[in-house]
Amino acid sequence: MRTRGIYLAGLGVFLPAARSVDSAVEQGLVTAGRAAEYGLSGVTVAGRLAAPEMALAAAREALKDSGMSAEDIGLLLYTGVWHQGPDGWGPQAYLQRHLLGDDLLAVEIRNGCNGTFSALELAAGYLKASPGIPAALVTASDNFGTRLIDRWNPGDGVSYLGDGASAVVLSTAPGFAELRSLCSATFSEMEEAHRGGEPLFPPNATTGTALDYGARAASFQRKAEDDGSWVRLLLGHQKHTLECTGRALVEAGVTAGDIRRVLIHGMPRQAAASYLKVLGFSLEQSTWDFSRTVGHLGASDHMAALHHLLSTGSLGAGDHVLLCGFSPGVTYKAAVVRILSTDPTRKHEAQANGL
Amino acid sequence: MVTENTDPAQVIARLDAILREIWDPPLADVPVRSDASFLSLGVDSLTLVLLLDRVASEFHIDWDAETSPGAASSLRSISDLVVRRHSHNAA
Repeated sequence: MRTRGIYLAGLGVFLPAARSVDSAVEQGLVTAGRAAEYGLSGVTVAGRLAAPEMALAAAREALKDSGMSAEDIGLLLYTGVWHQGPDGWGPQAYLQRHLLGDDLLAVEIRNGCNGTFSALELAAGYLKASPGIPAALVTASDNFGTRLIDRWNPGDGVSYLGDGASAVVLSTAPGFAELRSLCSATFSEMEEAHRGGEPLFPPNATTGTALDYGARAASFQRKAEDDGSWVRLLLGHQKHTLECTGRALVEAGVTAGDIRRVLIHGMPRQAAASYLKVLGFSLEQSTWDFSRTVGHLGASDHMAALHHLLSTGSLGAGDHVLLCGFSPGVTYKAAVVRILSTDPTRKHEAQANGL
Repeated sequence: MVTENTDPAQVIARLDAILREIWDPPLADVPVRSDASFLSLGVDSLTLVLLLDRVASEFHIDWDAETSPGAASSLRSISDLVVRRHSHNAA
């Protein structure tokens, strides 16, 4: 989707304090070998702080950063990858009650780690179709410190999971950055890669079965190897990765050489390096060096990385950044953002404050 | 670089070297058993894609046509495929 006239007006990130991987090794939560292989230094841990509370903090910061008021927000899209609160309840209403009020459309959406991309894509279309609505708020949040998932072992090949929240105000009025393109692709033949041989019913969350992405992916791979489809699936995965990102660059009117930094999902070092190499970028061009200090933040990786780059003065006006990743589906996302201004007031690192 | 040598031992040696180039630190000092599955080695899908790309260019393997069960599951399986394809082409 070519997105002319859609801007990022405000950005907010809430990250609790990080716990070091070394301490996790000392406590036997991860092996020293795995820790060395993954290359992460820490993950953010929220303790008993609920995901919607972190989302609220990030949303407040984003709204303040945008200079807009709650009344300007005509759409709230709330996303996350893990359980947000009581079943049968919607976290978006919590943000309405405590920040935005009732005169807007508020929806929780789910698209795995690509939730923020999908929310931005929907919000951009909504704003274009609603001339009277100046802005939308997209927020993502997760606290993985619960039963049924082990942040230190979500599965072989999956990064350690960090807690945190992000929020971005999307506007039709010029902001600090312009969303130049946002593209999606799906390779549903690999849908089973993230559920392996697990039954669809009853859902594992209702049976107390822990989530192990590694076991699911291994089951899927063994099956695909046995039936001879594995190579085709691998090539399809590569093709979709390249096609989606290539389309985002073309629609943004740039080439890979114009990209200042590449913002990616939280991944172990080798997986990140291979992913970037497939796309024609290096680990050093990416934000993996930041990601390794906080872990995989669910759907907040890219906005947290963007916030980090801005707060550390690593981007300047005119710079283009590529945001990309893939998540269960398998869905592929890529977006190009052009930085328009780097206000000095933006130079504050995300931290656990304001609560 | 195109490798014409189809001696199984040399093909495996070359595949091992390619894998080490792609997957730098974890395998650097660890012997890779040629019949160990990539799954057991922890080779992720995108690293495997990079390996397939290199094999395609060095050994003239058209992966699009490859549907053999077990293909690309280990260095041995790739080596077997390379030898089989080259023998077939030479016949």
